[in-house]
Amino acid sequence: MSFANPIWFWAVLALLIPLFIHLFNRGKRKAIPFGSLLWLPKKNIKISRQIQLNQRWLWLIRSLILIIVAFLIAQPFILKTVQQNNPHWLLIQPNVSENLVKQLTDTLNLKQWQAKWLSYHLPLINFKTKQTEDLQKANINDILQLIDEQANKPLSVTVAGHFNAFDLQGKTFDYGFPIDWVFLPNEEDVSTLAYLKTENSLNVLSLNEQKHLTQIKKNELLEPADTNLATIQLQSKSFAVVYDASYQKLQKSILAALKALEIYHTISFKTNTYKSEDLPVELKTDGLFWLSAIEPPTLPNSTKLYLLNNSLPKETIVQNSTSEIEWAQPANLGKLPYLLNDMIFEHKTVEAQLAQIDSRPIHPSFFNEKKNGFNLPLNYYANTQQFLSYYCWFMLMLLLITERYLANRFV
Amino acid sequence: MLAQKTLHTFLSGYHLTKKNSNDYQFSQFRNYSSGDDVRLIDWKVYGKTQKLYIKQSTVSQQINVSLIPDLSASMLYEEAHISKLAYCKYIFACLSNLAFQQNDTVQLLHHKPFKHIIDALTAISHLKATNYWEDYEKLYTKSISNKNKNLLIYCSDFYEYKQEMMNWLSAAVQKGNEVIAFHLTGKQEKQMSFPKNTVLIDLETRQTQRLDKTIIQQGQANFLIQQQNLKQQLSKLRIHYVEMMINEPVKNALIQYLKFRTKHKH
Repeated sequence: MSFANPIWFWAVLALLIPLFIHLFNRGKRKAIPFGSLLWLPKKNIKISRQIQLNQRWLWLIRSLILIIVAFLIAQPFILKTVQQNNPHWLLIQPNVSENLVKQLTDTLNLKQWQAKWLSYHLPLINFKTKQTEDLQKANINDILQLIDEQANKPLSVTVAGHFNAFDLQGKTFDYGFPIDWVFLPNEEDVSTLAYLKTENSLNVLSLNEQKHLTQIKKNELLEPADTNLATIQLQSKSFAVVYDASYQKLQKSILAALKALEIYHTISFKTNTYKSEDLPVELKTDGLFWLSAIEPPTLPNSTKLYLLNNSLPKETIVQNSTSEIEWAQPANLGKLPYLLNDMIFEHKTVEAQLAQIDSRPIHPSFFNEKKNGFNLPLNYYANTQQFLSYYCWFMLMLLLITERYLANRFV
Repeated sequence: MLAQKTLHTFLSGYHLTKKNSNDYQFSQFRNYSSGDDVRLIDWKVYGKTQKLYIKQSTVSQQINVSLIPDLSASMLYEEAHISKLAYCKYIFACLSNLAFQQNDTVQLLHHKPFKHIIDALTAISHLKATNYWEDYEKLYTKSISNKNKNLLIYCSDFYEYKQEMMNWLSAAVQKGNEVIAFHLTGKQEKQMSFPKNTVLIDLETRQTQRLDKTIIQQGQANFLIQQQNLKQQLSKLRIHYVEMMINEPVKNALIQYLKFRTKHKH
């Protein structure tokens, strides 16, 4: 048994108080042998041995009350031992591409994990009643429920996939194991990611947004953005995305990432998109995302140029442009929101940003800093804590009633 | 020794004549020898014969004095380091001395009459008080079972639960015994002059009672009421009631005894 507030268990020392009171009062009272109490009024007459016995019971009960109060304050809980046959499960949705899964499994240290496809490769789950076709469309909630009904439950489950916000919205995933959500964004789901991050009840993380993982854990993302002057200035930012037909996919990803950043920073951008052939002559904007094989026009100094394609050599652009240029070629689109965030708001060099992104720690729940070396599932100890708390309260009530009864009867 | 000294002090002068005049009859004269009490010389005979003769008497009437102590644990109550039982022993020792001097026979509880004062004193000194009065009821019944009429001297604190003492005393009176009841009390016990925070422990039942102001007041009143009832009950039985404080000198008991004996003789 462990204690959430072990220091409060020192309150048990309060047991010494009644002992001192007893010892202190004992000296004051003087017992005199008397012939007979026969002619004295019959009021509170007790047999001395009975008194001693009753007082011992009372002392014992009062001591127990103090111990239980100390327990309640110290908040005890029972740590469940980790069983080797109950590893952490990683459930991967079937519609995730193999590249993403490889990236996921490479990034997560999966030594102690069992990666399972959410539909096809779940041998421990009894799917006999369901057809394979149904499983492909299986609701995540249903599958998790099936896992929960197993006798041999996993310690924790991490679900990875392209989730729709509306799939998870309004559902309570309250099972006997903690669930982590690894959000694997595609170019269209960045706003969903932003939505999910605002959900308090869901432990959602994005593989490409490692920085945010810590913040999600600390609930920092739930705090409203500062409404100071800097934020107001940010609100006035406007962007333009110029693209060729070949970069249409990247253009959509940039728009989605910008939208996610809007939600994340609770600000709004004014974003316009132009095809390279329809580019206006005078372009007034704070930042220009250039996704075209054509060389960008000469831009004013106030406009920052963001180059996210490798079709143009950087040196050429730099020579011909007077504006500040940020250049990056994202390794995958999933990292795009995070990349843009650093480019727009933190003005770091791209190499440094990318190096930082790659070296960032993974989800803190995957590594545990607890004593016993594994991640303590919060639900587990919260449950035992709650149970022990109820049990302590029940015992406290029982002892208080007994104490009052004995005190009234014998004292 | 204490009893003899007390008795000697008590009887010096006054009681010697009383003893001779009341309880003894002339038997014979014998020659005076050195060491005899000068007061015993018959001066009339000396006037006639010019010789010193001692007038010897025989006891005119013998009384069987039966000493009966209350042996319940309540007799262990003590004040100023003198327990009721010790005081009772003291009274009995003095009375047995006195009785022996008057050639009365002395017996303790159910024992046979003592031949020597030493035996009586030894038996008295070995008295112990434990448990309840009822535990000794057979002894008490046996002590009044002989056919001789005795002078019962009963020392007790009269704490009784079911009128057991009264029934026994009543039986003793019915058998023709004369009874003197010494009610042993303590000054502190009677006045309940204990500190407020005191806890009294009943010596018999081991019950305890924490004292407060009301209990002390009611205790004082109850004691007087109970004592009055006791007096009335004993007077109905024609038992001579004597209250003896264990703090007061024992000579009061002796005076009461002698007074009663005188009455008894007449």
